[in-house]
Amino acid sequence: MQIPYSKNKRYLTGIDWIINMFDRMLKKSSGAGNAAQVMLELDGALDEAAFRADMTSFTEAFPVLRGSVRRDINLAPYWKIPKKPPPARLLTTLDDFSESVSNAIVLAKLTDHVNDPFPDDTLHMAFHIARHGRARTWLSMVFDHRLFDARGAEGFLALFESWRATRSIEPIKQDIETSEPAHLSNWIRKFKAGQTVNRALRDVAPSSHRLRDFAAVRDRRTRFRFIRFTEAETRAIETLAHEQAGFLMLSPFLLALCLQTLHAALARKSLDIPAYVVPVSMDMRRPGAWRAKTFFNHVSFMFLAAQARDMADRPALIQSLIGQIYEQTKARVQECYVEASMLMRILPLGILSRLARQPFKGEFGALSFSHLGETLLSGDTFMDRPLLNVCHAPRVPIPPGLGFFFNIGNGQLNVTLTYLPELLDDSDLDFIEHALRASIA
Amino acid sequence: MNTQDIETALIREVAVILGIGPETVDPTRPIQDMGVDSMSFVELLIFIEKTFQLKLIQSGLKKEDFHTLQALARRIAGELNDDA
Repeated sequence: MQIPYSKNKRYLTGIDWIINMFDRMLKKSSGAGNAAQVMLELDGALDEAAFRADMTSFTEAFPVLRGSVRRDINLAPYWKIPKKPPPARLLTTLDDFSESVSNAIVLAKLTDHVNDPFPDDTLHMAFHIARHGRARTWLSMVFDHRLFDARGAEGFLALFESWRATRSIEPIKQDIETSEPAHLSNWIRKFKAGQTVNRALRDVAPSSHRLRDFAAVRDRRTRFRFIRFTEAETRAIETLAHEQAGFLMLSPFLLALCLQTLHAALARKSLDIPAYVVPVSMDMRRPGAWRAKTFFNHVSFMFLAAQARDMADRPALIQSLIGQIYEQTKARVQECYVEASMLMRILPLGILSRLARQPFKGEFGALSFSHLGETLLSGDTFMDRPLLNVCHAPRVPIPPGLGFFFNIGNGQLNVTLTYLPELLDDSDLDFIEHALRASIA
Repeated sequence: MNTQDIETALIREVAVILGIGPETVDPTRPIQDMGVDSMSFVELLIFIEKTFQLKLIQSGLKKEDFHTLQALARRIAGELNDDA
């Protein structure tokens, strides 16, 4: 059934609905929703008044930014885009830190904002600026994951920067798709896709084990540990990945390193985890499609299993991960997940969250993982300041409350370890960072 | 199938994977410079398995065999000739 397109109604895909489910879960378990942040490190002091003025003007061009979720008469959920959006309201904060304050403290204060809920359900992003002396500024864009995924948030900032060069909004708006059909046809194909996904989940489900009892976790504000590798170290890691995992196999190599170091860190705490299930999120956009697909979610998931017995044998672990990636890609699991999740949209989010956890004994895997690759913000400057680095710091659902997120900004590999403080303490984090660095030395 | 036919098939597949026109795919250019990443590389390896019955994922994935479509076509032709 083809539903007429409406400028004010953007149907949510099944993946969008899954992201909405995570939003509900996080709000229920921690008070704030499924938010993430992309952080820009700029050389020198950012002119925050100019940034506020420019970003306010830019956001006014996109009423989709003030939308909210509704359910249609045909039961498909959609994003209601206001015909007359309320006056622009840009949420911003500014903190000045002296140069004597450590970078770790600046980043901890800056990134804690992601744990604060948005003031109402029509506000979906906020900007936090931390000036570190006169030498450095961090700009964090906190975004509602229901409206942007990580690549989309980078794309939004890249479009903002290109708009600043011309002040011409129409060519930018023309490139962006904000409509989506309801996808209320091809039911048999969707059911068959669901069978493929179920088979893949059944294969890894026996490896699902919880890292701890989350009911007892009191402090649910997400924390982050940032680990950065220099350009030279990044090249060394790529060479090592090529030698140990094969050509263009950086992602499985990085996942293997994360699993090994995490397993060793947990073993120090006498936690004997026999196996891990890792949901891996991946960008489903074709290269160059990021402009059209700036808003909403264009990702899918793959579920990989890793056994404790392989943790001491990196080649075996890497080959196991690559083999699973190959077989799941061959079975089109990622595409099937996108297709099959369309069927889930009929379910209220509370029921969906219980149903989605069933295959994994109530868990959502032991840790989240993604490698976003090279940032879209590859220009030399942002707001006329030299752009030094770009990294990401997303919240993750509880459980698992833990994730490793990689990206490359200006040739530097960044690792963001997202965690709950009752899951990993500073000594665990120091151990993981040291082990990660040692493993590529 | 000769090396040229294999190269043509690879060009067509990479164009499909990347969503670009086959005329823009340069077989002498490093494939990662064209936008091929881990996932799209795996898709290409699956195409090679389905089309040429060669499971190269188990071959050690040495850069010299894979860094351009021209090199990859030579590698596939070599494997097919060995099997013949």
